[in-house]
Formats: sequence, structure tokens, C-alpha cells
Amino acid sequence: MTEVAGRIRGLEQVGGFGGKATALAEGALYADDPEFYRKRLLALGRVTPADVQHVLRKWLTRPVYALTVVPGERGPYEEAAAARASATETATSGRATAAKPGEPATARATAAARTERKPPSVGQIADLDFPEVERTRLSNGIEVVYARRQTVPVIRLAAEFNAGVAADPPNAAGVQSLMLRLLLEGTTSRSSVQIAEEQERLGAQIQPAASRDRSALLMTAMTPNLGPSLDLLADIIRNPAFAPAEVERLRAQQLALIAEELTQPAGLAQRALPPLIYGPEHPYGHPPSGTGREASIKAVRRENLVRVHQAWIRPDTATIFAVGDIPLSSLVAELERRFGDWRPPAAPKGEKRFAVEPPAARARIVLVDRPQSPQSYIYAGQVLPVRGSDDTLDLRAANEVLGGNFLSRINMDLRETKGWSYGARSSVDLLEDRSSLLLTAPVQADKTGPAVQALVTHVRDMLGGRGITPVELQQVINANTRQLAGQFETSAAVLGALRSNALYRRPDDYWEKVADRYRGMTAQQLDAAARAAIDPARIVWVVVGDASKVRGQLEGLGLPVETARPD
Amino acid sequence: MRRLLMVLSMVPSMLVAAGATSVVDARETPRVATASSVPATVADLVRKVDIPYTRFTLANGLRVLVHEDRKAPVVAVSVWYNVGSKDEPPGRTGFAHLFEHLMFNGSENAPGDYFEPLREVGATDFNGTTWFDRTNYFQTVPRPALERVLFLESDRMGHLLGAVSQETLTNQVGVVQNEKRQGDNQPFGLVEYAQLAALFPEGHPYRHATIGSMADLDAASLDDVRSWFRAKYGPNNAVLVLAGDISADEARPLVEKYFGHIPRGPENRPAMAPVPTLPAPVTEVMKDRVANTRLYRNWAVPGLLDSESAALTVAAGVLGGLSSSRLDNELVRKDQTAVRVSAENQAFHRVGIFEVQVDVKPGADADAVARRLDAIIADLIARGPTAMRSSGSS
Repeated sequence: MTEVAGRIRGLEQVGGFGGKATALAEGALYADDPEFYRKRLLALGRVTPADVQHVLRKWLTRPVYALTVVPGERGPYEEAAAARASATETATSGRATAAKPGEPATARATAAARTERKPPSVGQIADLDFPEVERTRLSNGIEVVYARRQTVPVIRLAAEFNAGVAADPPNAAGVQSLMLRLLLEGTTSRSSVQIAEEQERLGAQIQPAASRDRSALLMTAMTPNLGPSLDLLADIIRNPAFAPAEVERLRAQQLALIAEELTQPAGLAQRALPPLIYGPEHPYGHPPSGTGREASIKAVRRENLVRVHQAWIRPDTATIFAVGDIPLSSLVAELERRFGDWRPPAAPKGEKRFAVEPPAARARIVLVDRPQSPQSYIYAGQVLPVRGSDDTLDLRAANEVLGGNFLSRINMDLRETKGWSYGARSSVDLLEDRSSLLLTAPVQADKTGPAVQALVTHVRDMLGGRGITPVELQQVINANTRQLAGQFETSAAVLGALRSNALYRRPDDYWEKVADRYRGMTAQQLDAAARAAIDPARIVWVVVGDASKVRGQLEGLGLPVETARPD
Repeated sequence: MRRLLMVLSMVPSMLVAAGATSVVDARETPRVATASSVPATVADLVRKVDIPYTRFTLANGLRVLVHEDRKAPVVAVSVWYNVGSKDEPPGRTGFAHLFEHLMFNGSENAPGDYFEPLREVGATDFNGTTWFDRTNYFQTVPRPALERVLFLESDRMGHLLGAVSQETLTNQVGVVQNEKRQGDNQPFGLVEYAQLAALFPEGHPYRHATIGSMADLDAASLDDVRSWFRAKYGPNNAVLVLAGDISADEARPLVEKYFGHIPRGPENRPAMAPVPTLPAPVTEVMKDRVANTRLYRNWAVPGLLDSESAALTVAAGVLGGLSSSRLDNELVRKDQTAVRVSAENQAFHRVGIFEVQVDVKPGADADAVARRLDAIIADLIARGPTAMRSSGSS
């Protein structure tokens, strides 16, 4: 079923990891039959209980490989020669296997090998034609935002609520996510298992999702099954049972997720940084995963969950976004039947605490010890003086040059020149309220200090004497004006744009107009945007790594080194 | 879970966020079921899945597939080489993937980073990946940039070696070793190596992970690059797919123009590999800095082309592949001794790996959970699924 769903999911896309080209190529390669994907899906559909029992008997009664992984210290790690050498050296001057620059591999000795070939020119690439956005309201005031796409008989829908991870107060971190996940674990008339089975029967998929700013139930429904799929969705949203047994089961699962994050390099970093830059009281001081903190998840009671549901999941915080192949009027008729009579409860609507000011962070390194790490996870951030509804296009364009794509300065240096990382980047974490700049670089442990130093230098250079070059500007313009058709190929991408346009208060034609804005950009504008927002004196550098290997490298970089143990 | 490796660490967020969808016959008139009508089943929808295509082969053996889809002015260009980590010689584990990285550092007539021209033309969904059986390269580009990308893909298929230097190789060995460290650094990150080494005997093509060993990556030389390219990257060992805003009639002369001159390479015979059976059960305990105890049950099973592979996939779904599957119902919902379970049949070209995983709830007795796990599997084997819907669930 996973295979069926995955294959079907990919079929709206021509390329990528699992699109239609992949379906055809795989079969051609392995089975000499491009239609193999189809035969495989049909074969999966024909499998009978007797077939299943037969193959289980035949293959799973053979001797098993049973592995148990238990918490404890790892065995020794097999390192590369260069890293082994640098561990015993005091100087860290380049890789042990010294490169011989410029030595070419001899060309394939064929007639074709040295044919001079010239790249063909690229034709005029038309600007994006974004689907028309239609809006209406249900009789109770819930806004419906819709774009029609006729390519597939599928309705994608997001029932979105102005809540999100940021809705949790400091002492209740993770409760919003727990509440959302519990919506799928039973209603007043359907059990958890019934909800799962009904989705499978309808070919519908309903998922809870919490970003920092919004909570949502995301549904993908086959158009012919829209009615019954919406029956299920409405029941999930409006009538959750919060059965005590389910609360305990999901509490245990969420505690396990927290514990898991605390063993992962990225998980540790993402739990450590937000309170350092936003402060623990700020709505964005929570871990972005939404899992919250152990103490608050242990403490939460069923009544709290009911209250949180009433405060945040209600018609007066809701917007429904959808992309589908039917007229809006048909969709609205179906929505009206399930949501039109929904009234806000008497309980007050939830409010977020954005009045809390982020602290004036000072540049420093915060080391999180994670013994036996062959890499260090560098994760730095600064709260920016910008909000999602501000005009951030120039700043985001400047970030693309700094670290926002493969060809950016940071990645080309740390990965493609130094070879210290599989990929390093910076990003503008665009949020409804105060947004932030993030830098992410997993690097080999013996280069942790030099990597932090390199990142600091890149940021300073960008803001100082090495502003954006004409070549870099042209790259930004070309990519951002020409990639739009591919960017919005799928209805999932269109749905995402409807939602982000609303969150950042962008007009409906934002993505159609954006190409002209890129074409008008100047390097000076981008430099100015970066200089106005980014302040190296306020960047906090979290480093998750083996303290016994990296502490010495971090001291002497001119930044204070503190330690932290994220919870 | 085995790791598919790719040249970029950045997976398009679109993919991560995507829910299930389906392409079925789009010409069908949309019809919305009311509560009284019978819902369409997943099986109904699968029956209608169709990707029409045209197939032709160039004189040099390059197989070409064209799928026309005019919904957006873009074309996906995808090149698949029939070579993967299972085809690596002894002492060169990880090389297929390392080579894939080198394919992005420029070719003779397109020097410099491959992503420069891609970014210039507004490509999306681009990456290269390597797994046990294949190495593929893909990008989606605006239709007016199609020729440029055919030029780029054909240049690295036909004219790579003059652009590969020791400097590039050394750099990419470093990058790939960091890709390996990044994976190994995760909790449970070393499990894959143990599984493959236990399931497959010495010398078996699937015994080593695609990422390879540090020592073998250290040992990679320009000679290896040359011989790999000559032996494995001929047009007769590749499949080119064009999907999107293009017809077969439009595609054929373009493909001839850019790929037709590349000489055929030697005949490629992807490694054969039997499905091994362990002589006796193997039980291992591994320590790792993890939050909970995890139980694994693995068997080597037949691969993708075997007639029993589909039933094994459905069996994995029944056992632990769905939120209403056996292991979920018994261990997560009923006993509440596990926080997460899964079962999966990973079907490769020559073999498959049937894998069951259980994350034991902290505080629960892991040995008792293991006994329950084995009993649930044994019960399913003994009695079979009770009933199955047509979609292949339990």
C-alpha cells in the first residue's frame, strides 16, 4: 500500500524523485518494460490473502536476522585517512591526500571525445500563468480560497487555523501538536482504527500539521469520494473524543519523539537555538518541530487538550484553502453541508503572545556536547527586524547569494572548495511575526572551528566589502524568473502558495508579478536589504558535536564559548 | 532503513509536504459522491493509472522514452544508467555514488559546476541519485531550455573525462565522506552496515552499503574514474526519459542531434545476485546513542522482478505498513509497549529486503516485546490475513 500510494502520489509530476519519468525509467531499466510500474500496481491489487500467507510461509519461516539496538556507547568509528591524520596533527592544513590541481584525466580515446560542441541558446521563457484564485465564504463566515486545476481528479484541501506551534504558552510547549494529532485518534462516533480504515477505503489522506504560525488538517481526496471524505474530515475537526486511553498513547509517542530529537544532531540544535535567540517566553522560542518539552507533555491533562481545541480549532480562526478539478460552487456546496452550521464555542478565542520582545542576543558560541559525533552540526541564528508581511524579496534574494542555494558562497566554499560538508546553507525563516536568519552546516568534526570561522567571514564579507556581484545578481534573476512554471507544476505547490500568500498577506497575483520585481533588482538594493537586517553581533552559534574534539577549536575564534544541554 | 544517496542534500520541500494524490484518466468528468453513493476504491483508481509513452532506440543503443503532458510548459529530462553500488568491484565500495558526484563538476564542453547552467535556465526538481542498482540524473526545465539540457546531459555522457581533475576528485571524496558521516552521525546510523553484512555473504553484490567505506573512498583514483566511465556510461547502458511539454515527433530529432554521435560502450551486464538464506538465525545486539530500544527482523527475499515480490509487499503492509496494520493494532494500540512499528519490503533489482521494526516504548520490557513481536509474525504466517480489501490492506 505504501508502494501504491507513493507511486500514485508521484504521478502528478513529470520529473523529480518519484514522478512519471521515474515510473517509466525504472521499468525500462530493470524489466526492459516501461509499463512495469503499471503491471506492478495491478499485481499488488490482485494479491489475495492466500498469496500473502504463501509468501510469508515460504520466506519468513527461514532463519531471521534479529538485531536489537539498545541505548549505550557506540563502538569505534572507522574514519577517513585525512581525518585520522588531522586528529594526530596539531596543524590542520588541508587534507592529507593532497590535491594535484589541474591534472586532467585523459579523455576517452574515441573519435567523439574531442569534438568541439557549443551549448545551444535558450529560447524566450514565458512568465508564469498562476491559476486564478477564487474566494467565497461559508454561511458562518469561514473563508474559502480556491484555485481550479483540472489535470487530476483530486481535491487537495487545507482546513487551516490561526494557531500553530506559536499558540502554546511557555509552560505548555507541544500541547497544540498533541491536540492536533489526537484529532485523528477518535471522534465521538468513530474510533482511531475506524478513522484509519475509512481513509484507506476512500483513498483519502488526512494529516494534522502544525507550522510555527498555523495549525491545519490537510486532506487529499479523490474527487469522486469528496463527500464522504469531507464527512470524515468534519467529524475529525469538530467532534474529537480525546479518549483518555488515546491521550496516554499519544502522550507516550510524543515523549518518545522528544527523546529522539534529543539524540539527533539537528534535533538537538533546533531545540537549543530558538530560546537562545527568541527567548523562552516568546511564541517562537519553542522547538519548531512542535513536539514541545518533556515537562509540559508529561503534565498536560485531558481537560487542557479540550480547552486548547476550543480556543484554537474553531470557525472564527479557520480558513479553508483548496485546489481541485471541480467548480468552486460544487466544492462550497459540499463544505457548507459539513461546516456551514459550525458556531464558535463560548470559550474565548486563543491569542498569541507576540508582544513579548526577543532579547538582545549577543554573538557567542553555544556548545552542545554530543559524544562520538564524527560531524559537528553548526546551527546559527539571528532574529531579524522583519515580519512575514513585510516586503522581504530583496533580503531573500541576498540570502540566496549568501547561502540560499547550491551555488551560494557558503556552499561553494564549505562543500565544493573545502570538502568539509555535504551541504551548508543559510535561510530566511519567514514567519508571520519576527523572522530569523538561520545558518546550517554539518561539518566533519576536525574542521568545526575553521568552519564556524569561514561562516562568520562569509556573513561579514557580504555585509562589508564583498557585496553582491553582477554575476551573482544575474543568477538570482535568471533562476527566479524562469523556474516559476516548474515550481508550480503540482496542485500541492499551488495550495502551498495560496496558504503562504495568506500568511504573508501577499496579493493573489504575487507569483505572477514577482518575475518583474526580480528583473528590476540591483545589487545595491540587495546589499542594502542584507545590511539593514543581518547583524553578526547578534548571531548565536549553536554547535552540536563531540566537545572533547571541538571545544579547543572553538576557543580562540573571538567569540565567547558557552555550553548548553537542551531539553 | 537503507539510504538512497543523492548529490544534493536539499530535498524539494514540495515532496516532503505532498500528500497522496493520483493521476487517473483526467478526461473523466468530475463527479462528487454523495453520502449514499459507493466510494471509488483505491484499486479502481489504480486500474486507471496510465502514462502513455513512445519508445525509440538510437543506433548507439540509447533507449528513449517520451511521455507527452502539456499541463505546464516544462519538460522533465531524466537519464538512468544501469549501474549501481552492487556493480562495484572489491575494494571500491562507494564508487558508483562518488562517480555520480563527479558528473556534476563539469564536462569537456560545459566546464564548471553543472548547477550553474541549470540555475540559469530556471530548472527545478534536479538531483542525481545512486542506489544498489542504478545511478540517475534528473531535472525539470522550461520547454525553451530543453535543448540546453540535452546538450548538458549528452556532454557528460559522451565527453566527461577531459574535465575531471585530481583536484575535483579529492574534493568530492571529501564531500562524499561527509555525506557518509552525516548519515552515520544519526541515531541508528550504523544499522544498515550491520544488516547488509549479516544478510548477505562475503562477496555478495548487495553486502555493502551504497555509501561505501571510508578506506575505499580514500582509495578512489582517476584510473577508477576512467574505467568506470568507459565501462558503464555508454549510451547503450542508459535510458533517457523526456516527460512533459513535448511530443515524440519533436523529441526524436533533438535526441539524435545531441546524443546520436556518442559511441556505444561495451555491453553491460549488471551483477547477478542470488537470494541468500541464512544457515541459522542470527541474533545481534548493537549499542548506540539512541533514545529507545529498537527491534529489527530482517530477511533477504526475492527482488522486484520475481512473481512473489508483490505479495511480499502486501504482506509487509498487512503486518506493519498501515496505521491499522497488525503490529500497530497489537503493539502500539492494544499493548502500548511500542511507540512506532513498521514493516516494509524493499524490492531491488536482484533481491529484496523484508524488514520489520519496532520502537520499544521507554520503560517497557524489550525482551517481552520481542517475544510478542515474534508471536504476532508467527500468527500471521500460520493463519494468514483475516480479510483484505482490494487495495491490499489487512
